[in-house]
Amino acid sequence: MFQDFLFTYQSLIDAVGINGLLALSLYVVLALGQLSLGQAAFMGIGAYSSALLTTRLQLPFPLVLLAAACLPALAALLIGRPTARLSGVYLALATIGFGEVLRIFYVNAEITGGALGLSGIPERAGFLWIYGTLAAASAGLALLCRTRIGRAMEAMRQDELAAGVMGIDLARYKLAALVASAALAGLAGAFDAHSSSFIAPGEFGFDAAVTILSFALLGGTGSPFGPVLGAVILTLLPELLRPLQDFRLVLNGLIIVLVVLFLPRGLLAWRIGRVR
Amino acid sequence: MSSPLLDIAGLSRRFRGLVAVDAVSFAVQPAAIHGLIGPNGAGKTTCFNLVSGLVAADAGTITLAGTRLEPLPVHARTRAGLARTFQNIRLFAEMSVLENTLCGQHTRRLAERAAKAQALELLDLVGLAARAGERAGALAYGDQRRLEIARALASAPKLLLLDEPAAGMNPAESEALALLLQQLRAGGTTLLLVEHDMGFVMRLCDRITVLNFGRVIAEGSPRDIRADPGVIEAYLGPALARRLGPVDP
Amino acid sequence: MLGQQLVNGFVAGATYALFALGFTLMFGVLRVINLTYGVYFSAGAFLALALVRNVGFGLGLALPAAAIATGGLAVLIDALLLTRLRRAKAPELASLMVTLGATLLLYAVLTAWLGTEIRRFPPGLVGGAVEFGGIRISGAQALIIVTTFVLVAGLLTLLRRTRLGLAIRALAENPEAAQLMGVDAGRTVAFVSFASGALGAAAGVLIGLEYNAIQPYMGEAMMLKGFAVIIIGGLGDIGGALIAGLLLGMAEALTAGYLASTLKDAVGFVLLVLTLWVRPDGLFGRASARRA
Repeated sequence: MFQDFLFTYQSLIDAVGINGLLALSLYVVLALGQLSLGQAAFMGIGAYSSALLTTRLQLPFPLVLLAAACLPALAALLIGRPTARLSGVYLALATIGFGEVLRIFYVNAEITGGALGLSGIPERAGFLWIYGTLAAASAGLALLCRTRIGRAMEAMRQDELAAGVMGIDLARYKLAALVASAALAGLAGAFDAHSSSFIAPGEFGFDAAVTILSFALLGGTGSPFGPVLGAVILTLLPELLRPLQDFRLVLNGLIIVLVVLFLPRGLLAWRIGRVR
Repeated sequence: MSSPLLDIAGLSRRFRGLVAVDAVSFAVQPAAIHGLIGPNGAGKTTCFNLVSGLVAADAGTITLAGTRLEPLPVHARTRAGLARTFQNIRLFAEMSVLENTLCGQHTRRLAERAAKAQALELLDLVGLAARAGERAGALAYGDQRRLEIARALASAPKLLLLDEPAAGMNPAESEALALLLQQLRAGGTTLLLVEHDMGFVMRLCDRITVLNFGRVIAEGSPRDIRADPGVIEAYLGPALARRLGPVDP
Repeated sequence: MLGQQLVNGFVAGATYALFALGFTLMFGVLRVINLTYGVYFSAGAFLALALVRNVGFGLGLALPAAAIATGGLAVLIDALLLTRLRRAKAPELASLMVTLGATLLLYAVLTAWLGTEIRRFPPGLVGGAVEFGGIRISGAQALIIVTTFVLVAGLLTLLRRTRLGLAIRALAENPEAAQLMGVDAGRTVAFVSFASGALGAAAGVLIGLEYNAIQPYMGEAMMLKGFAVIIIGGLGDIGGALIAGLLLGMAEALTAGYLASTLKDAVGFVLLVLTLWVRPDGLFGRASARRA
């Protein structure tokens, strides 16, 4: 029974898992009080590089995944180093710009298949890979939140200046968060490529970045589970309510506006790792 | 005199047209309470910001226990043994009292259980142990000030900078604070404090540096400062000077 | 050939500068990252188009009318979205996020209402041309250059020489103190929103004219260029935005002419990253923009 269910709804189930992973990647950065809009761009790097490594070089999947995590991480280092010392606004702007430039590259370069994208990618990422990674990442982050590092992140989020005076190395934490988030997003991209067999530049642009933000904001960023919940809800909702499909972008935009104005803590308002 | 814990030499900082701190030099002896006083705008908080690294100095050196601080970023200075509190309290309001203190221990990398135990000890010292689980933002003003001190102490600093710790406290509270500070001194912590409550300063401090318009105009024991004509003219005023009286604790 | 490239680039750069101006005003003065700014760009162009095609206005009337109407729209959106956040003293990123959401919403609405096909101003709207030394400057291009410089000069004069400008600058430095001095924050903020919306709209009309293409998402494409211009020029600096805009326009023109036209759009970002690496304050930025 479960097998049948899995089969019919496979692409939806995969999408929920992948979006969960993306939301988690954004959480890492939001937990510090930073805003990165580059998740979609990092995802794109992971998707394209993994697709090319599998189709052109026939590398085994685990190796491909490694690359899909490392390459975006490298890109994150490039953007993150200068912006880590500047105010959060610079990071947000830099990541938006970064995403746009990559999109232009994907559309114009031959190797990425141009505007038509890449197809025929073998299906390697199934339920186990996607949800296994999601579970591991969620658990890892949840554990981290209870430690000294988690407290440092929360401190930075509440009062960056005071956090620095506590001895927290702000630049290093910000950079580490960005790199980790890029790796997670890259993995999500590889899973996306290897489950839907087809990727195109449009999937990794500004709209996608904002959609991911709406997952995180809706679910609440007090714990890693909030953004994942937000991803689940916002991925399933358009499916359950067919007419909403066309208005997906409008819905995402509306959610962001309403949440920031009226429900700043999101749905899951509790904060993980409280020490009593 | 043993070698100073904190040695400031020729420290200067200007903001566009305004010279906030002008070639300020003074030294703080270990296990002493050193006061930094002066009229508003004299440059006291700027000095604190320069020492803690929140503002970069234009010139001068800052040496803490033999380590030069000027090239170090804020967090590295904390690692070097510096801690501070703020004039406008900067607690992590959404975190509990205990969590705030734990944050202060960041540079010490303690295991969770040891960390919690030491944090509770500190809270006990400042009298907040019973409120460990409360939200920091919900505390009364006086308690918030004490929490800030506990948090600063959590890093086991060599030198603690206190920016107007008694501000807004009633006589009973500032008395309790004075006792706490004396306890800290007895335990070996060096304190540098900025304060406007002259009674507090005169009773507590071993040595006082007076600033006006960004420059040091006097330095010495409380007795010397009370009698210094320049200080009286600039800051204390003759009435207060007379009231603080000739000599004696 | 080179001369013509540079002229074209200069003109494009002027529009970038004009676009960046309104955004700089909003951010430099109000510390608000208002991403709906791109919508004003698109809205201005469509409004002017409607006025020209349906009401028969000439450009001389349509441009100011569109600018004023869009300015009003900007005040409305600011009141709806940002006043609440400002009062709650929310962090800068909150305004970025809420305007991000609103942007998505507004673009989708615009697209649903107006469709995605590209529209154009009727040909010959601004006629005439000047030729010298093998370089041709069309009437439209001349209009753009003149308008940009007039508006920049006007804005600088307003800020430096008038009481309103003083109020705006005071509010930017220290909102509490300014209000204690009697500056009416609500009205001043509304004026700044109005001005920036109007500037964005004007830029939209002029770019729509120059490139002969108007479609709902045109504002979004401009935002990236706008970011680059603002950061290169220095966040919050008006003169910097002007110079950076002109530089970017010319750099793009040269890239398209001598390297590859597909790389044109990437120039802005490359310069952006370089600026962040080498000199984050930008050409003229205030150091205060850098507080980490």
